[in-house]
Amino acid sequence: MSPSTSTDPNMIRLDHLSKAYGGHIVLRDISLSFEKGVVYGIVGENGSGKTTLFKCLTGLESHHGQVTSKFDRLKDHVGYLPTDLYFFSKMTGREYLQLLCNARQVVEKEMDLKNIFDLPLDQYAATYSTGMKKKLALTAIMLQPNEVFILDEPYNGVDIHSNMIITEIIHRLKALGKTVLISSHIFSTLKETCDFIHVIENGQISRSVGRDEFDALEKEMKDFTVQEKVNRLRLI
Amino acid sequence: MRQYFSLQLRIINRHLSDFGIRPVFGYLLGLIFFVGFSGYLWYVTSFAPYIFAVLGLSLTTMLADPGKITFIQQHFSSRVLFKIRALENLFVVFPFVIVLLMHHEWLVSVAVMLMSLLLSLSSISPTFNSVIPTPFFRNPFEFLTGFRKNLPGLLLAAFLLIMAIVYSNPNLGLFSVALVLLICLSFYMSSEPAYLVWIHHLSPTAFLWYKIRLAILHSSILVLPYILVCILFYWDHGFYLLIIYLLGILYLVTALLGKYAFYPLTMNLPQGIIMGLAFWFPPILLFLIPYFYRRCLLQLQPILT
Repeated sequence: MSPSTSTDPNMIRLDHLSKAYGGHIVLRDISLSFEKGVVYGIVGENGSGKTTLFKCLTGLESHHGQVTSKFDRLKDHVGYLPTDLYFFSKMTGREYLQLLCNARQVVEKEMDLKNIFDLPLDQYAATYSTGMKKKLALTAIMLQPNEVFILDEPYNGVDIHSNMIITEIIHRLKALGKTVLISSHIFSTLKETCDFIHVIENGQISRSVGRDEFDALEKEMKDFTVQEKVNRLRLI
Repeated sequence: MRQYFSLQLRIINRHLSDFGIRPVFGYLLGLIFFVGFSGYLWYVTSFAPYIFAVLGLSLTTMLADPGKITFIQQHFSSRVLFKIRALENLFVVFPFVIVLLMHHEWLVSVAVMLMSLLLSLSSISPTFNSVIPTPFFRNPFEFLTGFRKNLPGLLLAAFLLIMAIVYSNPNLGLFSVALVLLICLSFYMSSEPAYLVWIHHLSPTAFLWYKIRLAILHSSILVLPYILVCILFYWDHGFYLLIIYLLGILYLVTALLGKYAFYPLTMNLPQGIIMGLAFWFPPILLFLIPYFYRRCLLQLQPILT
């Protein structure tokens, strides 16, 4: 089903969202809501369904269940940073930004000023490092007037300075009343930016915690998930 | 080394199977197209041997992907690397050499073989990173990336046009215009990831018309200098130029619609054959364009709405 309009005060609502690839179930009966001006974190192991959840939310993947929002067409208000970025082999960073601006009919005349990561915009984007590609894609969606930001692994491969800039961007987006969804493997960044964290395990939301429970969740993940698994290696 | 080549063969066969065609038929169709194309080339111009030589050698440069070469270097000795690259290049130019020999072009045949061997020694990749300016930077991406990737082809068309003027061969001039339009058509042969369609704040209909408008505008910008030069020297061939231009635009729009008609998959064999037949019998376009257009709307609906 595709996103539809809702009178609900929540920015986005997911009702009984499920997704399967053939017989392989990736998401099972997920019901969540995302409010305006709130930052949500989605954590889970590789393959737990985080990216699929984001793709269903954006409409890039078909699914069962409902995605409702206050917008006529949710996708037109979403800035989505995919985890698997694609850049054409003969396109410069500047041209990539132009492509994403054109797609949303944005006339951007201050591209150089807004190049806050100091990227070499006149070089081919495909030759950028992983972190630079991430920063370029992030810059591109920041040039668009979006209400919802879905950032799949925004900190992946990014240097420490840019890491801090991304965190500050997320704080500013929240202050502007935008809804932000982030997935990350780096728990400290989520602790710093999120208001709520949803834990996804085997395609289901196993826990949802607020700020006051972040430390407990981190300890729990360390003790039960990390320690228990590394112990199995019996390192000598 | 044998394993490497058998793996390459398997990869090609998989590509053909993905296209919905049995590999053996794929090779047969390729052969028919190759023979037909070479016959046509020798029919339209006396420069056919040189065009053929350039085409064959330019195909070998496509094999010089730096990533692939690095991969082979990591796993094989430099001696084996040379053998692999030399054999690959010889395989690629072999059909071209056969045709050249059939036309008694001994010297060109030997030159092509030697050049292909020399190119296999060269570590210089055809992909260089200096940014080539294009007139399409405001509206990425098809013509922007296509122009840069196909610059040698566009230069070849310009060379043919100059030869057409020098040797007073209007047919060659018309061929150069058709070549530019064919190159434009090739920009629509591969599909972009769904994300780059999804980003557009447009309905499927608006998206398609936006793409069609850009395709017509950009291809006209690219082909207009060739047409103007042709008209300047062969104004009496203006009618033929107009027909080539209009047909080229129609084929271009068909290729664009064909891409999105099966999006995010690629065109399958029956549709591919119909598209191919349209080159021999253009009235097919009258049915093909509306059919592709309706399919495009269906395919784009889930991504854009």
